[in-house]
Amino acid sequence: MLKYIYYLLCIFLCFVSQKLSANTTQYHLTLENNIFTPSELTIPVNEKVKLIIYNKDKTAEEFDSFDLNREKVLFPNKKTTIFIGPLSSGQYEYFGEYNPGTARGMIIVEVNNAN
Amino acid sequence: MLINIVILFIKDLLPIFILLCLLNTSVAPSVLSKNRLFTALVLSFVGVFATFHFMPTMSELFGGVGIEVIQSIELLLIYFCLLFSSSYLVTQNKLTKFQCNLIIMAIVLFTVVNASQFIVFLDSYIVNSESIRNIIVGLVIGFGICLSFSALMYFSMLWFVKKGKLFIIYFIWSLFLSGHISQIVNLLQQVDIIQSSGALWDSTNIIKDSSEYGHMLNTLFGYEASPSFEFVVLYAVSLLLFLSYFIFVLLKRQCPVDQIKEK
Repeated sequence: MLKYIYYLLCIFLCFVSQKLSANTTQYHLTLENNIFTPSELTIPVNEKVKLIIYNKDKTAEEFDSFDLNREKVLFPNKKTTIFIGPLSSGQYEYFGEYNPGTARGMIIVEVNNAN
Repeated sequence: MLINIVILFIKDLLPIFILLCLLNTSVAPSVLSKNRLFTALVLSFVGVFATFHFMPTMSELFGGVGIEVIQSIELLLIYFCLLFSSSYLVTQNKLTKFQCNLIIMAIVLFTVVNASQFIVFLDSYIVNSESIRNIIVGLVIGFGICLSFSALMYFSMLWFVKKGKLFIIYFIWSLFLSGHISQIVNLLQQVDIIQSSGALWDSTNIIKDSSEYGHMLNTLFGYEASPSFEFVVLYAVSLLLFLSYFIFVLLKRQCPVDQIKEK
């Protein structure tokens, strides 16, 4: 039984590593003094993108977005990767769950106008 | 700040209160003896602080998807442990030692998954905050809300048990667990292990995810205002699996009685 679980886990981890090596457009965000920079990020419509967030603060923060269904802890002085999309055109809000007053931003999904 | 602490308390710690409440009233009332509860408490305490300590390292495993992968495995284990242990509702037989151990393991894992997130937040708040008083007030209010909600749920469940409405209890139980196991999809989609096909519908106009009702329904049944197709599929499959198991145990229980009658 344990042997089968081990094999299943190995297959799953191979699948994980293969998935991670796939190419996707990257976008960068920085969290410093509890503020996300840039506060507005434009990405293309119907395309999956990789968001790399660098937390330059001394404390952890949680990237949270109800619009995007994403939630991930950003550890201090570490880079974190989140995949978003494919999304239809519109505005998608995100915020830092521990400092929602200051750590806020917006992902703008537009046709052929990504920065 | 107060509101934020209360929201995080409801989001991260209320599920633990609800799980204990459901287990204690209907699903496995004999399991939560003082000794077992103490063991679960100690193991959870160690697990939560170990996870908190190693979380930054965990996040870098498997190319930066460690937390998502580990949490998904934990959620799967919780689901299956509680699925195989929930036969008590149908049979009302004493649970075996193995089933009791599965339940304790599920409680510990469930506490670790939820409470470790809260500890990360609390640590961040304590470092940033100038006044500890706001944190304490927030914690007291959050704890009060969780306790009041649990009490309400406890007596509602006892009423259902008294009236013999086993299927309703089982349905609530399966919705609660399906809501939690479906979070696996969101976890794996955000690190691109599962492809996302976009939102299947959007009920934000009716109940917002960010509203109090949204948080409460998410905690109780895994409510999402704009769920993906994969989320809905996993939710439906886990619900069906749970209900099938209920019917299977029910039929298995009735079979020997029918055979005796035939003889």
